[in-house]
Amino acid sequence: MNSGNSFRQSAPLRATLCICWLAGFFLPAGLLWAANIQRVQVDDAYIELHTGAGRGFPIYHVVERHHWIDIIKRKSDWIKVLSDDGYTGWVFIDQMQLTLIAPGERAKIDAPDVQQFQQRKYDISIMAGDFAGAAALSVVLGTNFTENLSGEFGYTTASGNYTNSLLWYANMLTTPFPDWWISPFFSVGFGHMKNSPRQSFVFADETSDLFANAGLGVRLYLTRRVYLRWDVRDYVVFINDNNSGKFREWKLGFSFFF
Amino acid sequence: METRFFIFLLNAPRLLRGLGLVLLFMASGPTWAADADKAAFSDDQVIQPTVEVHRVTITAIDSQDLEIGIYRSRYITEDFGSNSTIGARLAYHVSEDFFVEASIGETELSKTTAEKLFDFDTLSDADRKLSYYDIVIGWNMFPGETYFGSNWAFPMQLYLTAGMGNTEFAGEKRASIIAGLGYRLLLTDWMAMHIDFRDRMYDVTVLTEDKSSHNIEARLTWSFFF
Repeated sequence: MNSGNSFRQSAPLRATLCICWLAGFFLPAGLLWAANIQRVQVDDAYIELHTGAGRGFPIYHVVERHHWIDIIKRKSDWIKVLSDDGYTGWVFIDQMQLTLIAPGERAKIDAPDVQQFQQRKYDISIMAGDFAGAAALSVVLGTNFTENLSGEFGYTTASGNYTNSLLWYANMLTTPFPDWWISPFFSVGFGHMKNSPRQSFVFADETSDLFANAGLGVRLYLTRRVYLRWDVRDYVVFINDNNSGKFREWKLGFSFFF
Repeated sequence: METRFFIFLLNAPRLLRGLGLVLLFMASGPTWAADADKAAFSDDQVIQPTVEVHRVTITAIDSQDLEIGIYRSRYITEDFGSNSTIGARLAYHVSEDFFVEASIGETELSKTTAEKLFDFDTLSDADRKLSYYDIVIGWNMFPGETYFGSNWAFPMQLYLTAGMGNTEFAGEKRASIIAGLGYRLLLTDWMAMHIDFRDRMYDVTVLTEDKSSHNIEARLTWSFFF
């Protein structure tokens, strides 16, 4: 009874769930339509077909040298293939690198690596940390203009003992040494902060103010599309003409690049 | 009379010719071998034993690393009973071992035991709406297969999740820590069913007392890969 009331009253949630339900009918058909089948020949002694996209799934068939396979789809580092004798299975990407498209032409499957990390175009970061003593959670969307200059747009929510804060900001970042394994960066930007005092403790009104921020951080490439990011940032909040507030924030999290 | 010596003299030219040929052959052997060696490493060799291999990148492979799903769950809020929840999740599979998931959900809190016994309300109807969102990292720790009867086998994964989020009710937001355990059954390559349990931990203040609250959620999720 309670869940029915909450469902009827939440229009955005109803819309989201309806879209998901409808997408469930159309997505599989869309996948078939978009599939791009490519044919390669096995050049290693044999390749192993697993029942699922992971090394923990059992091997149930092998395709020997000189036999042809069709590439169907991909999940992370696993490629689904169809053999000529009708078996489908998942092959690890390292084994797929030992296949031929044509005599003398070895197939190379695009695999994210540190070189792609240095040439990335977009990234998304999810970080947690501390904003002026409050637990903070941030989501940041970034884009690289050059290998040294990038921009980002971020959203932070901080829940403290006495106030809850929401921050929106836009920053410019400069990376002087993008080729380093641990690569430092510097950032400046501005944004908007909304403070909501917790009424259990503080009887005060909500406040909204603009702020400027400057910070520094480091990026550390881990594997595939993931890198670690840490940064510390100082905020100057423009409360009024005669008053400003200063806060410090640190965050640590994972970033994914595309 | 013909002696052996006389016979030898008569055959001498033939013998000498043969001996000369042998000597000539022996003298030219090293030269011929040297020429053969030179021919083996010559740039003008007709047959090239190695084939130059080109690498051609295959880029247009349909990738299914994103997963979107809807779920129905039972959310046990400490002090406020057990309530049905409805929500949605979005996950990105970084590798076969790790994924990142964001989820949102909403429910409505029921009355506490004290409210029922003494017929009073500590929260208004608007404050009883609980909504949450969280971002967790998952680790697929035990991949394998699940068997139904003797003819059906489906890939499955047992996974752990941990992360942070926000829980909002009674007009306040609370930073939450989430830890959980889940089971993913891959019905097809593009469709999966999940059963997972999560503990959402946050601090609450009851009158003047602070305490750490544990809230268990049991979810049944239907998700699709694309």
